[in-house]
Amino acid sequence: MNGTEPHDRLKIRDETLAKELDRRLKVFDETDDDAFGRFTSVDWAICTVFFFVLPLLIAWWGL
Amino acid sequence: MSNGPGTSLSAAQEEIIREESLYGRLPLLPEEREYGVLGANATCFAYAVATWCFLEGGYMADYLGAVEGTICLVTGSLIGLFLVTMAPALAGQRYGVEAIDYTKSAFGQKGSRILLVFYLINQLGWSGLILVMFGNGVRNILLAFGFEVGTWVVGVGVLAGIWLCYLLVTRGVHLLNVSNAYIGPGLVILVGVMFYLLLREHGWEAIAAAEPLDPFDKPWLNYMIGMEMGIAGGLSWWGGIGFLARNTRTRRSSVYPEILQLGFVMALVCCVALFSSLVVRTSDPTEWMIPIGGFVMGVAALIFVAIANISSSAISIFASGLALRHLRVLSARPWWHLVLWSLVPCLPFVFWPTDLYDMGSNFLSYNGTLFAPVVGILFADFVFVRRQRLNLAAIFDDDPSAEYYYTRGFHWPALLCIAFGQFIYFALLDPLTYESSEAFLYLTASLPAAIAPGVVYLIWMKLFPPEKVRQRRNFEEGTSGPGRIIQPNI
Repeated sequence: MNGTEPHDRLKIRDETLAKELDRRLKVFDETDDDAFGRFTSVDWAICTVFFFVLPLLIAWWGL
Repeated sequence: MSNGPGTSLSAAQEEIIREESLYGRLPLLPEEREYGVLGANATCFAYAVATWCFLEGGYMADYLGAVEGTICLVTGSLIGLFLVTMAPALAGQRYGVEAIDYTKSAFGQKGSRILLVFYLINQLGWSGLILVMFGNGVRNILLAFGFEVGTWVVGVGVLAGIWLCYLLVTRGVHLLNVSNAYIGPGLVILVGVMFYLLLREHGWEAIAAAEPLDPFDKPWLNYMIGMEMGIAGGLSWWGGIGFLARNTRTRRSSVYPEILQLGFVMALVCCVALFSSLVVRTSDPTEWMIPIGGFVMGVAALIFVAIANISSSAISIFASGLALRHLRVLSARPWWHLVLWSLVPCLPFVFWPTDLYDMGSNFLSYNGTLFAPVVGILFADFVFVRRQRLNLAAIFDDDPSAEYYYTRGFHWPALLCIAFGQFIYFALLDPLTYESSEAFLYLTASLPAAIAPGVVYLIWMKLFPPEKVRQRRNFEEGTSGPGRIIQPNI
């Protein structure tokens, strides 16, 4: 076995991933924000009220 | 697969990319993601209904009765999941990055490795506890069949569990998914039958009237410890949130299923364990299955839960192995090396299973110490400082000029805020002894330890924003920033 093989494999891996990462960054740059779905202020309000404020109030009531 | 114009990839290179996007750190593209609304709910449900529910419910029974325990489990869990989900899920979903990578915006390239340590402690702690539960299950099965075996069997069981986890995790995620596909529904049936038998044999009145197993003298303190355990149980999902969110297709499916399934559904399953522990008078789930289900059903349930324990531990070990890829020295190692390294910290559970298992509720609270400040800072950073926009390129750039490199890779204000949050936590509650201050009885420990460092960090970043943050405020550029990566760290 050639002693440099693992080093070469690591180098190929690093280069492949660096190129692929660059390609993916461009895809993310070019993708419209709406493609990831919306999370509006109404969603924030629902989550804050039902998953934080209301549980806090119920916990105080339970005390 | 093509890698740009005029470039074609060899099969080996395609395999590297496939492995790194699914089990590594490459940002997941929208078309690669698996979970829509149904998929996200089903996956979160499968994660929520696991054997750690039996542990958490059992620990709660030490301090609280059925009604108060239920309130603490449900409300605490929802609060913990809200805090731990909002920022990491939205960031992980938008940019396809996993939990540790996302934290680099707040803590810096090298600073995020401190969180890696927290994450590994969390994952491996849970794995160890569940493996002891597996060992206890093996011992109780042998005892049920009349073999008079000592507690040494538990340690041997843990060792066997480690070996089974290794086999399961190294065979890949497919086998893990197949086993979970059967175990999740099986656990739902088991919990349903247990609850039915509990109500039939004992009735709700007896369950509601059952006293806690080992409470402190002050009822108020017990209640707040219960709340703290509920919140900390929610916070301990921190690593899993990023793992799930990056695989979801829409923002809403990254948030609602995680909070509802991991918070609410998990709490309900924990409640059945709480009720069982209160009635049978032991917090060890493997001890209440035969008294509740009878010999045949109890032993069958023990065997099934033992199998489920291996599946639950394997999930944690799998996540730990993925996290280890962040360490340069391990990033290019074969998968089985990473799995082995993940299993080594579980070895103390082979030698001191009972002692470590008895500290499980302390470990649960300790998750609050670890993650509450982190969660608060990440929330402030992503929502208020970055206004839900990250520089994706900077996450993968180790060059000192990169936005998230800060000072030699560390963002000291954020790291100091973690220390500040942990100081607050310990000032309010010692998670090992449960000695508490008067303020803990009104505030809990996790909430102040999350909110105070988040506020301090936000004020600091408003008053003294790093140069790159100022620049980004002035020029609203694309999601990955104007520059390409100078020194990739993938």
